[in-house]
Amino acid sequence: MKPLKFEITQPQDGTWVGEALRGQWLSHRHYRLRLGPDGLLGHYLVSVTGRPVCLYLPQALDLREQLELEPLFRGVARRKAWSTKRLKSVGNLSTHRNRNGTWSTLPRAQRLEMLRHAKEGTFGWRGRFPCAYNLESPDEYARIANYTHRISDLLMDNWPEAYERQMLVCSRRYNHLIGRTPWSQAVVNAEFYMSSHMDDGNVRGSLNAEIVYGDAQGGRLIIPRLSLGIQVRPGDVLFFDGSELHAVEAFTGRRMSVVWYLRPPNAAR
Amino acid sequence: MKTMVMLIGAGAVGKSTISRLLVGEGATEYAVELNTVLKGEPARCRVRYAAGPTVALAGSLKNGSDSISAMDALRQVIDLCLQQRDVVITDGVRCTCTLVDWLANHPSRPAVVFAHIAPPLTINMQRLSARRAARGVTEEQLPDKTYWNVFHFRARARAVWRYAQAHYRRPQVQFVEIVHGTAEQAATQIVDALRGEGKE
Repeated sequence: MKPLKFEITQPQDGTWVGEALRGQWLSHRHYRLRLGPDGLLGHYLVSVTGRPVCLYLPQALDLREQLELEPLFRGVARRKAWSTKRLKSVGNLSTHRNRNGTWSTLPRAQRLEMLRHAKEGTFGWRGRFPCAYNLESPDEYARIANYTHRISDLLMDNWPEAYERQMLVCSRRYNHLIGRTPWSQAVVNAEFYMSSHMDDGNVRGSLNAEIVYGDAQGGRLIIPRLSLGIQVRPGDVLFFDGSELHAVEAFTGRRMSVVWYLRPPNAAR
Repeated sequence: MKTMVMLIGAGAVGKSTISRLLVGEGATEYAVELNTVLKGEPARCRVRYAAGPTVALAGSLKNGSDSISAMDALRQVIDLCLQQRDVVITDGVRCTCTLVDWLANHPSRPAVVFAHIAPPLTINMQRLSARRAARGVTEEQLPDKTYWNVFHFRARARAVWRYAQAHYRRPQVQFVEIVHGTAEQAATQIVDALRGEGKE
């Protein structure tokens, strides 16, 4: 099926105040257009003033196969997120001073109930260095890498220009990718409610891929600049430009997302 | 009126097949020795070209213009072919923006048909695998270097195609983009463009 294309025209008069939203928790007030079961349901390629930004493919994956891999992805997400640096950028938590007066590199966990059970973990390559998961669980990693090819094939079939563009960027460092896919690394976020952020560490203009597990109510991916709320369910795939400001809406129930992305080859370990 | 056909495309997209179809079955292959410059050094270079009744191909019938390693030699062969036939084809995978500029400033002011052969990536990969299999290479998948180079060659061909569209300013020029179809259909499209040369 060919995706339907729709164009969003960005206001040119400077009315967009996206930067002010950075680091904020977003909700249904920040989007009007819904993609997913309770909105527009279909294959959509969304572009903003001529630049494609995201591709939504509902029920494009074999659900049974995806569910078979759920334990593997749960195995990747093994670090408690509330004690990580990442929470600073996506958890809206501020840093605090240590006893000796220096700034701590870790954010202070606030009493934010939604993040109490949040976990995360990565696999793939961070720059030239493999993630710990690849080395500790090579068989599981091989299965996940194999599955990543399915996601990559979907991008190739539905958005060939973007796929080829990203593969061209990857071709200079093909030893440090997840198989022959256009992504170098992936993160698994379990029960992780995220404030609005941009994926600043990614290769500019590269696309992320996202799949989701769980039966959560809410948990839309919000792209406020496009006024877009996308409900990604198990079986769906979303490709989007991570350099757009985005956030995950609050949710109840279980939700685990896997996001593949492309880091530059000289990314810090 | 002299006419050049410049086939632009990545490896294994069918450029040489299309060239053979355009040159025709009764084409004869010739070999000439040329004084040329190879890697900055003067060298004597033996190159081939094929000539049919009306169309000549700068290169051998088997490999097309890829059989000519030195770009300087390729230009000389094109000149030679232009003297002998009205329509000359060049189909090198190494076609460059410099070659486009050279054509744009050619003293004989030929009409030019730029044809970009750009099949979908999957078909390109399949053709490449089939070519390697026919050569007797048995492999589960393409080697890494070959696989990733496909993206470079496709991007390069696209870049030359865009460059030609943006910079070729002579009036007698046609641009033909061929995405789908067989080599016969592609050849037909190019012949149609040749018949309508100078319209654009």
